[in-house]
Amino acid sequence: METFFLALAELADPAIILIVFAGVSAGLFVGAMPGLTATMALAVLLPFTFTLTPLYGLVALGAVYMGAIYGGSFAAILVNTPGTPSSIATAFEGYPLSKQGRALEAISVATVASAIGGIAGVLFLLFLSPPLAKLSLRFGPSEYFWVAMLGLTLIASLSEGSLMKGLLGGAIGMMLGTIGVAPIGGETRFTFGMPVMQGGVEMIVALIGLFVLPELYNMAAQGRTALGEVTVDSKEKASFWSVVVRVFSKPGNLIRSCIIGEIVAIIPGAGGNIANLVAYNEAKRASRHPERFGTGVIDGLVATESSNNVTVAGSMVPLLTLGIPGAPPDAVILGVLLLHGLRPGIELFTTSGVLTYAFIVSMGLAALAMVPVGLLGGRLIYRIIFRTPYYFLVPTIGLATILGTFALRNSISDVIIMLILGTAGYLFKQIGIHPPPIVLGLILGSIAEVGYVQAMLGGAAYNYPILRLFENSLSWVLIVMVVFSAAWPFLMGVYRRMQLRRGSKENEK
Amino acid sequence: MIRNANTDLLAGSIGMGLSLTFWFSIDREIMRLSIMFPKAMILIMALISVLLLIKGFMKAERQNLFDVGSNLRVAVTGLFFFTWGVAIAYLGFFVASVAAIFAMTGYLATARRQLNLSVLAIWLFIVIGEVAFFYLIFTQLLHVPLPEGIFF
Repeated sequence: METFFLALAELADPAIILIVFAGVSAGLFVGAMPGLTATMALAVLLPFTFTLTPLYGLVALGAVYMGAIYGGSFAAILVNTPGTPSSIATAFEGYPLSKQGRALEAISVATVASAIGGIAGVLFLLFLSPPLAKLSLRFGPSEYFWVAMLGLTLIASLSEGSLMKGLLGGAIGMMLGTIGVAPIGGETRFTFGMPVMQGGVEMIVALIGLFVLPELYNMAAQGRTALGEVTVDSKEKASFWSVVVRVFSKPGNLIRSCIIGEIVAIIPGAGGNIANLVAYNEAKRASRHPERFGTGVIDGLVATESSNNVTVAGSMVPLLTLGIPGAPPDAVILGVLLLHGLRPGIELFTTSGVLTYAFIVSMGLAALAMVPVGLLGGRLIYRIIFRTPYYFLVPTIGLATILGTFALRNSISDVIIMLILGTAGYLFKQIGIHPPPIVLGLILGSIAEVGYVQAMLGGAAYNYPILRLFENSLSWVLIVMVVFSAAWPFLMGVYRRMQLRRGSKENEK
Repeated sequence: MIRNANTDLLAGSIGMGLSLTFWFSIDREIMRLSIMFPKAMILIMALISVLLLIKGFMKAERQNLFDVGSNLRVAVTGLFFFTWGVAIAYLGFFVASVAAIFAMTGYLATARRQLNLSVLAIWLFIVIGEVAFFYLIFTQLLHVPLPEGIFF
């Protein structure tokens, strides 16, 4: 408890408040722009945090993340185009409200719901992380190996496209992670005769390349980013307090959506993009008037926006305790943690407890900051977005990307590696191998390798050392989860086919 | 533009190609501890690739490739990025970035509007201002020494 209060004292610094507001504004700006994701926002703004203290850097990234997820709702409400995948369902209710001339009301509802969701996510993170971190103490090498495998199968089965291609992406990422010095053994591998490869593929370099460059190529291909400007009726009034009362008038919807958001957030790979759709669907199912959904129902908007913002802090539960990113943007946060020598696990909540708790609470501050930033500055930010042509945006983001990669180790080679990986990421995406599994493979590769090699060493006394991976009961729990998550898409496919068959039989009758 | 390609076959072939590349670049004298995990991963990657190849022959997933927007613009943008990355080492960060951003902006703008000299002159000033802003932030505020090349 003392650590927690020390963390609160750290946040009394005016610079932190300034960073929170600047981060939320920057995140809102990027998130509101269709095509630019929260992950990209974090990757582009990452270099600006290099020289900051660990706390300032983490607070900035947390605020950008929170702002970006919320920012996605602007485009969804005003032009029916989700700014980020986390706001897909926001468009279902937000845009009809805009068409009825209630755009400001919709934005206010989205703002309040996002703030509540953000705070709920922080509370989940505060209460769930410490016990899970303690549980991680029971994890040995075999368990860590299986946790890494679980992360990989989950992201492969939940990310876009086919499971097999997701797994192939993860395997490619793991192989990229093996380039350079072995974590156990210490010899260099797969340098292909190039001395520059001895240092391996730096995780942040790969992150920036794989997440940002494919989006820039997409923008260049389409020849546009933003869409036509919409007019917002300035006479329309939406009292802030009346909106707050409306949002809280159905606490069941709010609580359900937050819980759904947190459950989805804990699953590695499943972020706000899944949470908002599930929460929307459940809100519709629970409603007394489901037929009205799609015509501008406030409950639907509250469900999507609260659930997707829960995932911001909520998805950091597996990240801070086990080192497994709950969502792609968390991979960037992990990169910053490792950059400052902070390793996920119980130590984050004990030795570095003040920093960790201050970071967690700062995300709550960011959620609160969304209210003034969104309501007062939102329209101004949106005008700027619509007036920034894509042909300025692509090279400017490219500049930030190249600078950020270079600043990491003052290395031009890193810039070239980033460009190669980003271009490969764009090409791979065309054939259905998406960047998130590759990045997760790269991150989980080192966890899996250390776990695997240590387990093999521990099992040297056995005839088959690999049996060491199957020895403990906790390992078996994880193995069952790995098998289940890998089989999930097939099971769902079979279930859907059975439903279809049943439906067609009923139709025949 | 490639339309309706068998992406399972393509992904499987790429996976198999990468597996073979990594397998044949294993140093024979490397200690077991250092190569144990990569070997296991190569085998897993090869297995996934074989499964994708089999699926590609039996129940292929077909997808349109490179069918969004202009592929020429993507290729030229990529070329700009790589030239920019390499030129930084020789021309220095400031000069290379101004040249690359100005050229890229001009090229990408042709998809949306007509250009004339006065517009380009204004854009040049905007680009110089933008690069100078980043340059000063990184060198003066963040103390990141940026490549100087033959200029500054």
